[in-house]
Amino acid sequence: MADRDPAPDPLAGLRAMAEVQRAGLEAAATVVERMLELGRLGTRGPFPFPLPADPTAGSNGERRSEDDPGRDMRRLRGDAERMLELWGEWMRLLLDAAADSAEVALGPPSRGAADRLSLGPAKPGGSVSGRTWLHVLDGPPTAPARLTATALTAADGSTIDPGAIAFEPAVLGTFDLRSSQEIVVTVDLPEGIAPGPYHGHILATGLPELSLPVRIEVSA
Amino acid sequence: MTPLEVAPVEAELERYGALTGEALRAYLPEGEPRRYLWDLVADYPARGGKALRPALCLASTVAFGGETCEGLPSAVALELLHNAFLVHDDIEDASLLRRGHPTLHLEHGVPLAINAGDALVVLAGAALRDNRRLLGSRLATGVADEFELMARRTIEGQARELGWRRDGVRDLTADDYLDLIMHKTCWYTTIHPLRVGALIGSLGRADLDALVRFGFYLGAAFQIQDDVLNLVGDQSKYGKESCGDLYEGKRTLMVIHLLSETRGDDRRTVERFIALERPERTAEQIAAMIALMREYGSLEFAREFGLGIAAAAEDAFELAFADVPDSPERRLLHALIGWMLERDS
Repeated sequence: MADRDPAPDPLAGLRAMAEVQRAGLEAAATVVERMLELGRLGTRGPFPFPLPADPTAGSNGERRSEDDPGRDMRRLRGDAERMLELWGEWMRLLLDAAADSAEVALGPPSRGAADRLSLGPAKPGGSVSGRTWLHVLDGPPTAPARLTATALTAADGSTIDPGAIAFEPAVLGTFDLRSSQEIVVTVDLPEGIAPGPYHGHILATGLPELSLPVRIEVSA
Repeated sequence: MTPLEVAPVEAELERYGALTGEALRAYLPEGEPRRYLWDLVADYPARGGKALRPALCLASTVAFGGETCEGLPSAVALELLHNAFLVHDDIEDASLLRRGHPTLHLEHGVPLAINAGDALVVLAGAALRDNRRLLGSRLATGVADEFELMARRTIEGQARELGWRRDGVRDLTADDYLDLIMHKTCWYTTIHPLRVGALIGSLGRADLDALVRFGFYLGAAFQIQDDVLNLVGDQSKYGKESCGDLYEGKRTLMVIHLLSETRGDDRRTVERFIALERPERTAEQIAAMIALMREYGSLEFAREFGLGIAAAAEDAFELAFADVPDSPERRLLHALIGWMLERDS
């Protein structure tokens, strides 16, 4: 009777996969630990280049200041100038921080900021949309705010009614300090309005300083 | 803690991408010369992308206790620098497609494309400078140091890969591949964004070494999946030139595996292919290489190798984020481990 082949090991494939996964894990761990060690060894000193040798140094490395009696004084003056520079830089940073704090303190309690929004060109009877961001730069969190708009007015007095302007979302959630919200503005242009640029503003209840200029170009 | 599935991860990436894209546009000059410079500079950022880097940076900023807006200039700088690298890489690799469209140098010529890449680097510097006003000198200097380190690592990795290709280097191991992608890809794709976000969010208190480990495992899983998708992915979703890595002679994990496993005629076929210049490589040769990869299990090897690294990423995440409270941002960063291996674009 011929010898039968041994029964295939049903787990052999799984073992092979696990072996490759283990190899991946171990190789990756080796590479990352080597990189971390390299980072520790590569920490730079205060200067990345060797400072030039002191031309007044003697053969034993001691400076021969007696050859140039004014040198110590010049070095001392240089050190003092550098210290003053650092002190000045420190004071400037302090003043910058104080100025920033004062600006925040003196600003409106809930000041909103936003970009300018330009839409169009679009034809009368059409519709046009655009996205923009509203940012609250400072002030306390506010209650949910509803977006509104003024009428959009052209130079000849033609207007687009605020009812033609829609927002998504129409109501902003609670606005935290230094947060931002993207909005989509859609304007349905009435039939028969005169071509040209129309201007107006987007406002929000609860954010009295928020005023986003809007410009829409109506084409012929 | 509820894990995020792939679709919500992609929605979050899109959200961070939109936020960063909006801020990035503010750094793009509007003056002249538009036709020869600024239109080119705006091109790659406008093509979109996965926005993985800004998402990691911003989510890490918030997870470690900061505000989204505090990480925004760094996220913008990272995107600008990423796009600068892409423009120059596409020239170095003679790539044809980027995000589904012809590469910048094919559309405008090599000299103008190189100059546009340089401009993107300069604009990244402008975004970084804004950190000083936003974060203060100490933290801004820390972030700038991180950018210098990241750029250095990336350039070192790119030099190594270009050198291997120029010299026809073949005796490479999986360890060499991981060392390459640590420098070339992982540092700027995952490690750096996570570290910068943690630095900003924690006001400099986070353990940045722990993020090197997590970032590397995450980035390696990303890169291996990217290499596999380049060969067998759906090009309509993937966006880059199908099999571009093979045409360019890149030493991917699959190529290294094939070089180590083949013998006789198959080995000689692979070696001859590796020795060719890009214009000499044909579609038939590419198909033969992929057939060999299937026969020798190189694709499966890469996938399993990536799974092992993803397992390491799970452990590294728990260590790196041990002191970080639960939040949607922390959950997103964790969910990215699975997403890296499951994504198809």
